[in-house]
Amino acid sequence: MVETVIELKGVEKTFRDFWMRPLAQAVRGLDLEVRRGDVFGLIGPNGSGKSTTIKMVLGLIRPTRGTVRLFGLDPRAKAARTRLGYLPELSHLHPFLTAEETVLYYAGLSGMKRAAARARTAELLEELKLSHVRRRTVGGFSKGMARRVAIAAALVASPELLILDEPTSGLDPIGTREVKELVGRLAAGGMTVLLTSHQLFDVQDICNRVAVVSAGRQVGGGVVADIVAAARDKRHALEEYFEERLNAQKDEQ
Amino acid sequence: MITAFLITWRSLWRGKTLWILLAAVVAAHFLLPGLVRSDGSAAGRLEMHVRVVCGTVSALMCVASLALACGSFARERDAELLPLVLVRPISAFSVAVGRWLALVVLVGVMLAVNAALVNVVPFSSGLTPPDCKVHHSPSLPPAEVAAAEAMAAFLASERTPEAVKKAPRAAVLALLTAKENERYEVVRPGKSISLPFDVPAGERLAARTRFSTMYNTRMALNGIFRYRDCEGTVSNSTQAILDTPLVPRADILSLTVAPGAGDVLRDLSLTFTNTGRSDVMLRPRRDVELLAPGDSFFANSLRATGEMMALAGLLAAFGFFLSAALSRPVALFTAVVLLSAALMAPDAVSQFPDEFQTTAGEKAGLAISRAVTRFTAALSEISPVSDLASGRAIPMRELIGAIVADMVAWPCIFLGLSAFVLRRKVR
Repeated sequence: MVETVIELKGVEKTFRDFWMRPLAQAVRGLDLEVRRGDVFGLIGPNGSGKSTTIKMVLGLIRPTRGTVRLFGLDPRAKAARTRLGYLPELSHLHPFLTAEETVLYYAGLSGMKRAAARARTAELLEELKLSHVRRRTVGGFSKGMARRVAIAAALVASPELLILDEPTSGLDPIGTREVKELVGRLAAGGMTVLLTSHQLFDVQDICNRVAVVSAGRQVGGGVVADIVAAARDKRHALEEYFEERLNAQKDEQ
Repeated sequence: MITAFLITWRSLWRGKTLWILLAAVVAAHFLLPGLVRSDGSAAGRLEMHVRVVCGTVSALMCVASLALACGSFARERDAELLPLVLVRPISAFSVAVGRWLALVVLVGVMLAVNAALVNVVPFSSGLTPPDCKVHHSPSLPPAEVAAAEAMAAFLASERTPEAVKKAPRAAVLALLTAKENERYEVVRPGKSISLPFDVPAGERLAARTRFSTMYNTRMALNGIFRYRDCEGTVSNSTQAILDTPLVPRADILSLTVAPGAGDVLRDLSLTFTNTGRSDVMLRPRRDVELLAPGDSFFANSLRATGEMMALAGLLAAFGFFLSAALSRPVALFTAVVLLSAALMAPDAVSQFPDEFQTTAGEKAGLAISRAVTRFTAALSEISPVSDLASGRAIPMRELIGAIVADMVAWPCIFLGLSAFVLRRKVR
């Protein structure tokens, strides 16, 4: 039986103001299951609740209702967080640290031993073509280079689950291709990946399963190969499916 | 924790904060003494140097630690760096403690440089570092006890109006306690006053008399202090604080009797006999102290440094809490307002002690000031710069108390709250 890595059951999230009055319901009764080895794409228009869902999976915010389990544990449990890597949408880094120090910093926060952290950092910087700039402060890096440093930081503790929020955001075509190749290599190595993206073409290339969310609800999803097989235009299969699901939801409303 | 410590330390190092503070500390020692005039005596010069320079450095460290702490988490939240930390298998408390430790070490380094300079710069012109003194106050019952007794008599008296008897007891007690602390006694010419002290025999003691200019109680002080077998004569009309060395009476007569020879005498009262022609007014709880020899200026400067560091550590922990809960400008503004309130509240309470004579608004202000004073009482009790400048030996138990409270207990509370709030402020 394949292990469930992420499990969301009837998850709802309502943001409230200071007086606890409801401000916005970001997620409404979401059920989701990501299994080991999946490269799972969470897609949806802006404001559909993707980032809120990811934050709940990361344990940064708690759901108002429903349960979120990570490796069968509470996402805030140390044991769950030890097996997790996260790349946020924007590559915010400490500008005064060098590329090497940045990766070592996150290795330290993940509780890695110094020698192991150094070896892993060198390996990742090499793999992400950052070895030649490892002693340069990241404050002067281009967006693409900063993105690669952030990816190295997310991968440094060799996580079992990698959560990528818009991984190709701000990257040029070559950078995008490199990230896609990297995710492909990680998935081939058995890593579970959950990603969100607006680049449906990329999602179709990388992911094996997707879920379409809109207005906080899941409005579609399934195995990418099945979606492609059923599509008229194989090249833009996911785009077609995405539009169809959103239109179907509008019709229901 | 070590990782959080290192990154904060690196930001201070590479952000040039460390170097700016270091330059400020060194500049304070070499520039400030030239701007301030002392009374011209060697002791006056030293006191001015210590008071002005160490006071400036201490204030700078407190402000710097508070400001840097206020910016820490708030800036990272603004830069969306916090989620990257909070998703790691490290507790938010460890992160907060690591960062706080980095600031404490920074302050410690600066204060260590300050301690080294204060032991060198003022004495570079041949002045000998003076030993500090242990200050002993009269061993009187606590003012609250005396106030409670006075209040009991006050309530029992038939002459006390019924309306006054119905006044809030806590307020009356607070008023009487304040009065008791400021109570003074008049010593007529030719008469004496005795104050109980519990100071070991055999030490070279001095009697210190302090006169508050607020009361303008004397024109001149002439008299004889006696404690156990020692005595000293005082005749002065200008100084506000007078130290009268007490010499064994046998020494005065023959100069052959060893110190401590008077141990057989068990009179534990310091007696002052007024030999002048005018009344002398003394506040027993405020104006008279016995000074016993302490240790070196160097040792005292280290203890003062420890206390300054404890104070800065407490402020840094409080700053981290504000930073976790509020945005940077709001945290800084709140810190400044609360710090000002903490500095002004004791003055407000002492200047306006009588709450029966104030309006409702003033009563509310007084109540707030009292609450702030009570809350920050432990902080007000330590005054390392003043102690170092005046030569008062800082008791070891006072230093340990400051470290336990300001470097361990309160930081644990504030940093724990920071960790709690940090997780709830992620959006």
